Amino acid sequence: MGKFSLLAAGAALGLALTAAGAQAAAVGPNTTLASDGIVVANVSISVADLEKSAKFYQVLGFEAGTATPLPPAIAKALGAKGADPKLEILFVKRDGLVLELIHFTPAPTKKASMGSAAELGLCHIGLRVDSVDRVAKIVTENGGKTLDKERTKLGPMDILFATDPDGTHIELVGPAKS
Amino acid sequence: MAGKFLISGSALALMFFAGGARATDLLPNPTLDGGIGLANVTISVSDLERSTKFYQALGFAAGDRHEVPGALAAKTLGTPPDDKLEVRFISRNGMLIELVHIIPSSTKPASPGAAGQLGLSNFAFRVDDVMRVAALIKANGGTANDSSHATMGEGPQATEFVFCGDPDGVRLELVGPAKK
Repeated sequence: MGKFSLLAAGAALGLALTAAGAQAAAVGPNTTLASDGIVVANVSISVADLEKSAKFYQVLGFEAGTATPLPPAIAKALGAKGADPKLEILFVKRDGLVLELIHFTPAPTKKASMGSAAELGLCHIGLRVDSVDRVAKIVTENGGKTLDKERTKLGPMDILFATDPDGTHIELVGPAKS
Repeated sequence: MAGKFLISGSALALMFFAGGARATDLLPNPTLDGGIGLANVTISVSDLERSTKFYQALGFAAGDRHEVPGALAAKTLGTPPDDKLEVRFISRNGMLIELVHIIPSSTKPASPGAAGQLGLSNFAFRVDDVMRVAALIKANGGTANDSSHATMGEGPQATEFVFCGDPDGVRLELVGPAKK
C-alpha cells in the first residue's frame, strides 16, 4: 500500500494532471486520507467560462491554480456527449475548502440550480463577511448579481443571496448595521 | 452578545445561539480572513434523518437539528410562507455541509452534474478503495453508477474512479488507487 499512498493522495483529476506531465499545481484537491480511508477532496462547479469564473472567485479571496485539460474519458464520466468532448478544470481554494471549476466545450446551457427551495441537491455556498454591502459590491463588479429584493435583516444579521457569473447561489451573511 | 456573535455565526447559526443550542453543536466556520470566511456548502435534502445517516456512514460528524422560522425561509430561500425549514450541519476534514430540508420537500431531482447543467455539480472524495466505499454508499441509501467505474493511467500513477449518488441523487465522485 505504501507505494500507493501517492495514488491515494491524488484525486483522479489531480493525477491525470500528473500523468499528462502538467506542472504540479499549487492549488489542488485535498490529499490526506483520514484513518477511515476517506477524505473530502473538493466540491465541483460547472462553469460557462473558466477564466471569468476563476477571476470571480479570486476577487472573493480564493487562491487559484492553473487551467488544465483533462482526457475525454473523464468528460464522458461527467456526462459529456459526443466522440471527443473537451474538458478543462481549475482548482480554487480558501479556508480549507477546495472548489473545482469545470468547463466543458461546448458548455452546458442549462442554468445553475435555483437553490434549495426549488430543487434537491447542492444549492449554495455560504460566506460570512464583515460587511454585506462591501462584498455585494465586489460580487456585482465582477460578473455576479445580488438578489436585493430578498435581502433580510434578522436580529443582528444582514443576509443577502447573490450569484456567481453562471447563477450559482452564494449566501452573504454579515452584521446588520445599527 | 453582539460583536463576537455577529462575526462568528452565520445567519442560521446565529439563530441557533439565540435559541439556546448546545455549545458542542456543529456550526459554520467562524473565521474571517480579509473580511470573508467560507462558512459552508449547502445541500437540499428530502429527508433530513436519512441524509444525516448517509453522511455519517461516510465519516461525517453530525450536529443538532434546528428549525428555521418559516418567514426567514420564505424571504431568503423563496419557500412558500407556510413551509417549514429544518437544517443540520455536518462536518469532516474541516469541510462543513449544511443539510437543508424544506417541508413539504422539493420533488425536483438534484442536478445531473457538470456536463448537464451549470453550477454546483458534485462532491468529491478521495478514498483508499473505491469499491469498498461504493459498497458503503449502497448499503446506506445511496447509489453507485457502475458504468462510470473506470481506470485511468498506468503503473503506479493509475487511478480508479466511480461516480455515486447520495439518497437524493447528489453526485459523489470517488477516486482511489487502481487495483492490480
